[in-house]
Amino acid sequence: MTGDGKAAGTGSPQAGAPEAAPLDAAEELARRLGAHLDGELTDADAAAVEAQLFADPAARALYRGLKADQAALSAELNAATNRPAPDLLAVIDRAFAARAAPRPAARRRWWPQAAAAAAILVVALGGAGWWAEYRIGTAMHRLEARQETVRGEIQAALSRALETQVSGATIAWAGDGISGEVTPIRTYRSASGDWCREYLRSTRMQDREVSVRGLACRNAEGAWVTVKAAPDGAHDGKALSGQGPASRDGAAGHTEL
Amino acid sequence: MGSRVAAMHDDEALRLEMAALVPRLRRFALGLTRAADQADDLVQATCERAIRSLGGFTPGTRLDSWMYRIMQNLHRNALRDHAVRMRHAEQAGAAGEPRLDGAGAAAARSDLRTVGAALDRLDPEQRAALVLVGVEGFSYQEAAEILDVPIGTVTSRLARARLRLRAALGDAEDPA
Repeated sequence: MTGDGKAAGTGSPQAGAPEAAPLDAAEELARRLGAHLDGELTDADAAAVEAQLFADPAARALYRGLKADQAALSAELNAATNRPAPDLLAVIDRAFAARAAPRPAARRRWWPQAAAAAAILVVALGGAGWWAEYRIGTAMHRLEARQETVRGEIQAALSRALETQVSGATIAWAGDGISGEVTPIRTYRSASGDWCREYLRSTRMQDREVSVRGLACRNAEGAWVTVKAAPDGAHDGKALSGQGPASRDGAAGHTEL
Repeated sequence: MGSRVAAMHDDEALRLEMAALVPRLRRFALGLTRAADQADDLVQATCERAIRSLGGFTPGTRLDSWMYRIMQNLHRNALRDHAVRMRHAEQAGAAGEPRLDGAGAAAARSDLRTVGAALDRLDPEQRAALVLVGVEGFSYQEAAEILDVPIGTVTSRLARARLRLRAALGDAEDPA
């Protein structure tokens, strides 16, 4: 194998001028999402990332991918660590013995202790990996809890608007770190006789905004259930009427967070 | 006399703690070297160096961080020495040695879409940052101290490592 420029580059890790280059947009996103996974963000920054995840499906996909990669990485290295070890404990004991060479007593009964140490290896091994997992778990729980809250707030505002507002009348609502508006735009009866209303809603977290055009129908219990929803924006707008892509799948795909 | 007895007790405690760290040291070494035999050589060299330099360890601080730092320095020096030898070998027209940074292992592996293969192909510095934070669970600050770089360098390396891993594994990702 002949060397290439890369091999030479690996020899001088500290020299790396390319590394000093600022992160590009994709790398910056990976940095932010990774820091959220690592539990390294302040509450304010974590909330900003959550707002971004809320608004940006690509960021959500990346976040899930990063999390999966990290779990795969831990599994890979942990599995490889299970292979038989050379006698590293003997190495350690010899080195300690050499350090204590002038004192013959230092050679006394190290085997029982090596055995005791071996017994706690299993406990020690999982430790750090578990902690990394735990941090991710915490980040995900935080996200999921936030997600639940956001869904609940949106649904409450939507139900209130559809139940009480005439078409064209907008109601605004606000929750913790989130706000939005809902406007019913059209009302009709479905074939099965239920009342259905088209609506526009927009929701803001921090500086992020998501606009959705949806259709909800009032079920027998009087609850408004969204049957179609799709992003409604200059870049991503899709007509809701007709059998466009705004099916139930489209709605699920766009569910916040 | 009393202080000598205390020192012996300290040695006993450190020896047990170090022995308990061996599995984690092996895991990190494998993350750095990507080759099992090199990894265990590195763990051995790290333990020997650490025990010889115990005077440089501050009691009450984390033994693991200190040893990871020794390991990372030993590995970095090994990579540098290896690169120098490679250049000399090239200048002499020789075929050169196998690569130490895992690229050889990656090329030899048939399935390039495994996480192991993707890890092989990361730059060693990026891999070290990713394994320290993502697998070993160190904070960014701790990782920066172990790697002896500014914290911003750790975050940059992490971001780039993660993106490259994602690019390598993304398509193979099981959607379930």
